Amino acid sequence: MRNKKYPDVSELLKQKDQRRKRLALLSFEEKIAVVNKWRKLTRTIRDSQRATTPLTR
Amino acid sequence: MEKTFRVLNRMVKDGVIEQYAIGGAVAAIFYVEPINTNDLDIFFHMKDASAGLDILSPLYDYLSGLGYKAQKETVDIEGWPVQFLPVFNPLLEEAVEEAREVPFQRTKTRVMQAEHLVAIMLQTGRLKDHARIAQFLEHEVVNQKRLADILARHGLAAKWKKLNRQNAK
Repeated sequence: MRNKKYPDVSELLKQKDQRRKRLALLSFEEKIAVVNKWRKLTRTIRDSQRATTPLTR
Repeated sequence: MEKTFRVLNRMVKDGVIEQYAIGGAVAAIFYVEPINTNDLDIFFHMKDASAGLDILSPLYDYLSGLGYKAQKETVDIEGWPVQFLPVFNPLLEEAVEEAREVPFQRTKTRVMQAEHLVAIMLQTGRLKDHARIAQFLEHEVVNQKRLADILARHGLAAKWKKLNRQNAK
């Protein structure tokens, strides 16, 4: 276990951090548009869960 | 959301509320990266704050007259569940008074300043508030001198020191 090698993800984490910084620089309207997209997605997931969840007594 | 802001501005114009400011996650979004949220927190004050627990009744009646119905603790205004919260301490009162006017498409709205939001999150003190404070600091959107002034005036300086000590560990 001690000798197990793991991939170097430092570049991925750096890119992730840069993406967050880019998102923070969007205009208020653009950010709200992103949130609206997430809200729609959340609603879709919730609706599909409701449709597939078996009825329980 | 622009339509929602228009309704809020109309509430001020019609004297239903004296002034409002956006707080909570949507206000945070103005300063940092988007956060997944489902409601809009509106802090407001009224000229006559003596209404006690019935403070929300005139708002709900007014909005109901416009066709916006209450859903649990929020009112759905143009697709956004809006939670109205009367200012209930001096920090919130100051945050509403000193909120910055910002344009959203062709409508103006009011967003609490970053330093007030950090102070309110510190005062509220949930884990998610502390995480959000970290985001504000990381994105360098806070004027430290102004924040220190607000924290000192509202008795939050010791709490701030404690949080910083915890984070330094």
